[in-house]
Amino acid sequence: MRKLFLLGCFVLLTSIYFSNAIAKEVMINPITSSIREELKQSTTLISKVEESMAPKINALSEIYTTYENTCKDNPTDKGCIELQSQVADKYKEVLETINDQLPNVIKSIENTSKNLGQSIKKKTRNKDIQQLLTEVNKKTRLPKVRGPLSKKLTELLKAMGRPISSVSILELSLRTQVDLLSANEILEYLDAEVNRQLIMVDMTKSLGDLSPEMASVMRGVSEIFGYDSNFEIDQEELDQKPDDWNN
Amino acid sequence: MKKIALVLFCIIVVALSGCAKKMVIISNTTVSDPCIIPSGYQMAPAIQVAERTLQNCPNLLQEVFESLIEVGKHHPNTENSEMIQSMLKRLIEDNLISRLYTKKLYQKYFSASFINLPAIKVYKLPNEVDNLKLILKEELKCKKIGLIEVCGNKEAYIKAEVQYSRTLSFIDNLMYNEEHMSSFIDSSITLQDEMQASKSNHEQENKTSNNQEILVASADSVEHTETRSIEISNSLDRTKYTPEESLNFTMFFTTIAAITLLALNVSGVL
Repeated sequence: MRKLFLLGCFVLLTSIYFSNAIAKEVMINPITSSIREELKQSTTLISKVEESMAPKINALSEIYTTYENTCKDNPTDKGCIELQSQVADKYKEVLETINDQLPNVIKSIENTSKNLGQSIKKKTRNKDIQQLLTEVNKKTRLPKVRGPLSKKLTELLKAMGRPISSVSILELSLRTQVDLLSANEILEYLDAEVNRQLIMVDMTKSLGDLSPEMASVMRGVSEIFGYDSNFEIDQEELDQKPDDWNN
Repeated sequence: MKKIALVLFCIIVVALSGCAKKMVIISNTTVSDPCIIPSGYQMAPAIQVAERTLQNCPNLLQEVFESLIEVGKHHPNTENSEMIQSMLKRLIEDNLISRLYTKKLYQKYFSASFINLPAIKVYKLPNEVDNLKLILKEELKCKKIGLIEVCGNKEAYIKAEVQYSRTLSFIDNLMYNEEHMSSFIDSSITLQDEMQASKSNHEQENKTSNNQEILVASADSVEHTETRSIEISNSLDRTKYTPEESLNFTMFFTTIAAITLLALNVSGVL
């Protein structure tokens, strides 16, 4: 009986503590339940795309690195010609996968960023900037999140899942929104470029080298989906002017 | 004949005393300046001068504060800001200076936080963002002077810099979202928000007019305080007289002397 009484007291005190803490929480929260659901769906979709594309991207990266390391000075070697063909095939495979998956990702990110952005705008536009900054500065600084977009979205979902967040939900939502908008810009470029590259890839099949356009597509994909791949183009090659008589 | 001569003598004495009074005005009677701006290399004596000055001339708060910052630069130490803060608090307690204004002025230089931004609604931010960034940059410069040059507190200044970049980043993100969302604004939301905005503007106007009244009242209060402090200062410092007071005294005593002479003469003593 006594234990029950003590347990009851403990539960009562804990609930009072948490209700007070929640009452002191920042009031401006742009994440509605529907936006939260959309964020979850986008994160799941992007994670799935990341996982499904990862083996193909890694394979392409490996072949390309091997080609770069061994065939740079000897491109006419039989093995190197075979590698060139593999690079082109893998690249085409990656492009086709991106082409299949990208539209859904773009649509999902577009919807999420549109709703999140409107919610932020609606909840902040009549507020005083000083008031917002005071609320934001009461909380600790946002952790730096580097890596794929899914990781950045997960950070917001994690903060939303906690009863008391040490960071400002508004500041985190705003940063996630900027990430989504930036990602969307890159994805739209990639979408247009992938379509163009699919036509071009057959023409460049025998070249082996990644063209600057091909490299930029691969870098964009790696940046959004967080692949640790090396698709750098030799800067000297890019710096060479077409009409440079010294070459 | 003798009487006439005496009367003439008295008139001449009175007239001469009048001339003598004018001499008092011309003479270099030095009256100490009650509103000295502190200077020098040591904070403690500068604080004493500043406090005395602000008791007499509270309207010189800005100049006195800036001069104390200049004094503090000679020996950077956190005690400098503590001494300034204590002095300002004493003056606030005595109702000589405004708490709100003084706190803002102090925090502009010695606090790592940026809490003195102008009241700007987010929907007005696109037109005000450059001005806002300029204000932030200016305040960061003041914090560099206050926290590093006066207090020698680099850690606090680094905190201010971090908050500065965090604030800028927040504003930029807000702007970025505003720009992108402007094309998606739902008309119903816009109408509702505009109504809300106009309502809040109306409230703001009322608030501003109230604030203006408060400001006028506080200005009157400051004026009254200033007059009172001058009166107190005069009553405490009775060994010094203004030239007008000296003139009145001389006239009074000369006239008494002349009347006494006349009376003695009439009574036949002289």
